[in-house]
Amino acid sequence: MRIRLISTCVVSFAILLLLVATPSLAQEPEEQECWACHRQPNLDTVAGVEAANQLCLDCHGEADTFKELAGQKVPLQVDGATYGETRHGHLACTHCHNTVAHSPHQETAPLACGDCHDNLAQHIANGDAHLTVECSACHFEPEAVVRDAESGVVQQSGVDDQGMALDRTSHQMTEPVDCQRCHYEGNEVGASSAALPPKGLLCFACHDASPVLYAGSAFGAGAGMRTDWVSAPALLVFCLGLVVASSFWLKGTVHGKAGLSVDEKLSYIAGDACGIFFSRRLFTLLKYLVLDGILLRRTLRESVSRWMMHGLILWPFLGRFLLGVLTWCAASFWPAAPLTQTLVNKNAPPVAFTYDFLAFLIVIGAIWALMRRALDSQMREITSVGDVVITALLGGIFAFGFVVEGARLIVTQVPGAQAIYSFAGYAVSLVLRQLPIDWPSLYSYLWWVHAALVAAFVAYLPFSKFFHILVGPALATVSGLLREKE
Amino acid sequence: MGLDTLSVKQLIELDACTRCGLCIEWCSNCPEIGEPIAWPREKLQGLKSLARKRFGIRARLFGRGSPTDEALEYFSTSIYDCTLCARCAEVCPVGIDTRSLWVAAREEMVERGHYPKPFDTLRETVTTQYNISGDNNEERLIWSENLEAIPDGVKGKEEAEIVYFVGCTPSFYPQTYGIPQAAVTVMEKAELDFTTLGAEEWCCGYPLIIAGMGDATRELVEHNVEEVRRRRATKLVAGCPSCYHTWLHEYPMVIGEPLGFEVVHMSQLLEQLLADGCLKLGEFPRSVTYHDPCDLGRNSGVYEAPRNVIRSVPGISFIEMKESGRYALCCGGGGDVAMCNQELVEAVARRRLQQAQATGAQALVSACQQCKRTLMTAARQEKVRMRVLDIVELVAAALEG
Repeated sequence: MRIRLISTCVVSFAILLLLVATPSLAQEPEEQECWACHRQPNLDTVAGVEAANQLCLDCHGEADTFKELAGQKVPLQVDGATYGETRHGHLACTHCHNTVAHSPHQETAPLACGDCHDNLAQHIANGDAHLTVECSACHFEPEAVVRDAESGVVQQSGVDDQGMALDRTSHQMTEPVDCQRCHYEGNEVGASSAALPPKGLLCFACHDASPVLYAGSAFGAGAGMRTDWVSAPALLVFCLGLVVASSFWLKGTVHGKAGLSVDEKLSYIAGDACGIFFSRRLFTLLKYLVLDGILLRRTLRESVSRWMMHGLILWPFLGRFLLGVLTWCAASFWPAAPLTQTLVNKNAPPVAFTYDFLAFLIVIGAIWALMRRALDSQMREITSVGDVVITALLGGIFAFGFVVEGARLIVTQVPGAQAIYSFAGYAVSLVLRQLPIDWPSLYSYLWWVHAALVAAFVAYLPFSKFFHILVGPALATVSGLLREKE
Repeated sequence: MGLDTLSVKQLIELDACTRCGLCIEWCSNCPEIGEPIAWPREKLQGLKSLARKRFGIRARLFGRGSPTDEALEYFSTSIYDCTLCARCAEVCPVGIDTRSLWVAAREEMVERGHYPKPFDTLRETVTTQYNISGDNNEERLIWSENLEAIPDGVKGKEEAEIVYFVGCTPSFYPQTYGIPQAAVTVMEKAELDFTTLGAEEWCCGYPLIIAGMGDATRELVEHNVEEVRRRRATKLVAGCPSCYHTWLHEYPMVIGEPLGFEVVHMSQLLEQLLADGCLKLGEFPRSVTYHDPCDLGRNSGVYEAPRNVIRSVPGISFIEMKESGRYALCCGGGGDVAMCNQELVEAVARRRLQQAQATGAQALVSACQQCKRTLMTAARQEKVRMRVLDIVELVAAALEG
């Protein structure tokens, strides 16, 4: 009797076991988090972090933990004590390796740096988001990097340049970042031979850039505080020009009163400005700013062709500037937003197309202006040496702008299907490719020429005919306001 | 005066010129002169050069520069060969108020002694005889002697609601006597309480102001204001757009306070009278076109009042000229140009007359005695059978009864 009871229980348990086990035997093992079986520690506590890390170190603390890569054994041993001394030593392993604590035990995504470091804005402030470069490629040792053939992403390499497997378990950060890890002659990751400075305040007029002249930087040998040496001198001369012009203007009378000192004049002007800004006349001011200063209504009244020509230059400029401002604001305040990720990506189709299209319109407007000047005898234009200089500078900026973009598309190995959205730059790149030139080496020189031309243009602006770009709309607005007052 | 009175805005305007040349295309005088000397753009650059030599950074560091006499003479010629019609200001893409710059440039030329010498005579005449013709100012009402019945207002009243400011040209130049004659007839018909100032009407000062001699006008201004105030008038009606512009814009600045009475142009008064039904007009079956006086249109912004008056006349056919309103070509008679370049005046007037002829209108109506005088002269010289009328003459001709 007792034996029958035991037999019945054993058989029943065997059947139950069979019923439970059969599905799992018939399928692949399910993806499960480690914590589905292991007790999930509280990672917000030191004890929880230590407990979680101990689970990892149970295997990764052993010397014989490795993986196979290119037929070689790549060590995966982590020294817990050494890790604890690093910058991230207070964090659980899974804090950064947040896709690895699964079954199967394999990392499926890059390190989750962005979960803590909302520093996209800082990267943009330093000139470039390096969107196709993984954080670890710059910030972690060892320094070998490789460009993934499929995704085009630059990342840390598992092997060195001799093909020998690398130990990537030190968790030591590279401080300061060494740009020459990628930026050297003959690199294979699609970087220019020379590292370029970040796009600065001047570039802000047409690109997403940093509107700061002096800022902290984590990059390069000069890491620390950096000065925008492209923008600063140009803006210094530009401001000097404004001071010279203002000192001339302030010799005039205010409210018909002669003999006033400069501070008295400024006081009157400031009073008038406040009277406008803090009254309903502000809307009148905005009306004239938009209609006469931006939409060029007065020009339209006299000549549609002249209006179109000016509009093709002014409005795309404004468009590029506003797009740059929008990008900077988005990166500063909402760095993780999908729109921001698109805006900062100069290869993203809408961004690439918009920037190129606006630049294309400016070129059309400039050509139109030159043709009017050359062909229309009624215009009686006068051209001084200064006019030629400033026009040549502007032409050079655009010519080199397109060449720089074409060279960038070549150097950074942007696939044709993506590069075509930068249609003007892509067309230039197709031509440039035919030339027997080492573009990664030349790219930085082209960039510098473009930047130098912009700097020269801005510095010369207050002393040239093109000063009307600033004074004209302002005067048209004020004139409209005064006429309305009368 | 001159450069020293240029405002901050005016100095900014000198820097804002894009040298686009649109002002040259629209300049009333440039086609007749054909040389860069007359181009507004060149005048502005000349004024900018003078201002830079006085206020520019180089002048402040190394002392003021002084242009040569030849350069000043060249600039003077360019600045006085201008009718001040302000078409250049109207079309300027950045809205530079060129007319006030030209007046400031003339003031500067007067200060430097580089101006046409006939202007010395003008200043002497206006400040001693109180009119531009040099006639005895006691004869200011000589135009009224041909009237069948002289209204009380013409003889002069101690007090009246309206002061009719006749102006120098129709007071002393027979070609335009018909304008005040028509004006007082219409006002009498409308039963308005008006008066003239008679011999106490002095030149408004406009010819001196635009000659760059505005500092000589204070006595004239103060006298005229005092005479109008003494008559306790609530409204001043100017028959001349230049007088109207001067009363409206210059007088309050000269005396440093509001005038205390309304200033209107005759065309505005007529528009009001017709709208109020104070005047009954009969048929006037003619086709007419209208010439905008520069000081009434562009310089004072009155475009619709005279047109409304014309459209109020029964049976009339109104045709606009190709260049009208804001874009109206000058008659050539403005800016005191007649004192130093009569040929230029006649050439511009001929062009305006041709534009009027192109409409096929039988009569050319204006609202300014100087425009009427200039265009009448051109019509006579060109033997064009086109009647030239002032707006008030048109209304008087259409009055019923």
